[in-house]
Amino acid sequence: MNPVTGRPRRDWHPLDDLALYALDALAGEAAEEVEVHLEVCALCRLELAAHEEALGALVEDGPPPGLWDAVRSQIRADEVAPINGTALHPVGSNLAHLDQSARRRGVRRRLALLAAAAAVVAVVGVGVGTRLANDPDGSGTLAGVSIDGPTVAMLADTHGANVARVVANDDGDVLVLEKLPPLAARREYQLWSVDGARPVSLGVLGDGHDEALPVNLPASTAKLAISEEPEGGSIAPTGPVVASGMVVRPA
Amino acid sequence: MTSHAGAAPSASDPDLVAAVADGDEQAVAEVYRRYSGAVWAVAQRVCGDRASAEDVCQTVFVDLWRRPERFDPQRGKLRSWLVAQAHARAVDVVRSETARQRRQERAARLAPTPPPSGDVEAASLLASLADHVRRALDRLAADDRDAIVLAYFGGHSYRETAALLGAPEGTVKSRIRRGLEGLRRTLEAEGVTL
Repeated sequence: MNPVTGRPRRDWHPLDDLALYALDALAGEAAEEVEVHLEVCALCRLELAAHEEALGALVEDGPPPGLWDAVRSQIRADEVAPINGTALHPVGSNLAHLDQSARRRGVRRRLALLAAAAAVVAVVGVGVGTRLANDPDGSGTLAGVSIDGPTVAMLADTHGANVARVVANDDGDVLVLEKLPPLAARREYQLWSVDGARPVSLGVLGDGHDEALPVNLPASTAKLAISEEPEGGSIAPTGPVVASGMVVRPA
Repeated sequence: MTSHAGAAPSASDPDLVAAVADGDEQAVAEVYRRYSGAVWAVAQRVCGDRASAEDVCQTVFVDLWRRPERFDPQRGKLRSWLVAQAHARAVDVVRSETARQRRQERAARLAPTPPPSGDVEAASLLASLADHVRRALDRLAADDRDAIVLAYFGGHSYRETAALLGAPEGTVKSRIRRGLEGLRRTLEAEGVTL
């Protein structure tokens, strides 16, 4: 850490601690300092990967019979109640007691998310962190948006009450949020296409107080869901799905 | 459950993980076929008991299914990433309070026999490893090797490793780094692609 700026130093490489980190022999603040440094230092990421390659080469054995059956059973049990016929894979799990690995996985997850989020944006054009509506102040408010077009999707909450809809205007689709419940601080809603086996982010929606948000739904999107997520959105749904519905366009 | 070309035995690791992200169970099966041996080996070595090792392995592969985006192919190979996940989880297991209690109870039952020294524990761990692994580790200086074996296969923190070896913590840090770098050179010389 640079004592003047308080930022991680790029010109210093904690090579001793990095070796300990590769062995999971480092804990607490020392491990966190390594993780902070890894976020900004490609050289140390390569060094860590090389350590892990070497350590990985030390282990090989035959797994016990029946282990795959146990893995497969859990994977199949992992499928949750479908939303409009499409299974959402739950994220987060009952593994929180594994503190060391959770911490260690954290930095890897953050790094991976950056790459994954970029990939999603490349594929669908919008993605995690993409705020719907072209509001330069970031408020999510877009006054004066027409919602006169035909409704092509109704999104209902878990009790069946309609809380959002999509209208097809001549100049594009608009998501109209009507009765989404208030959110806690640092949370926001996120829109998903749930056509495939894995949901695809269509953008974050703010706190749900905005009334109308232009959306650019891919032509193939037939099923939509809105979930509650941490501020900035998620790469896959992590919070409860608060609404879902089908897209039905006039022939 | 879908299955497509991404799950084929000839698929690259990144393609397999992409297929996993697409919900392809066959892709997880192929990842398991390729790497369960390594994952199992590290889990078993560190946990020291079969039931815990099975839990660790199961968790690693189910976690890949749940969060495949956590693997970043730009940062390393799938095999070493899975092994690192398994090792971190196994270390959690051996450092858990329950495990500590078991060790204390076992030590109490065995009293007044003194606890093994770091040298003895390292030798015991080393003896349990496959021949080719022992050969690779034996090329390191004994001090460097023992520090790595205790930390990696014994699941000890570097502070515990230092205490077991009766060496200053800073010295153990240097030994582990030097040993890891030596191990990399040894494996590269043997043609193991790093």
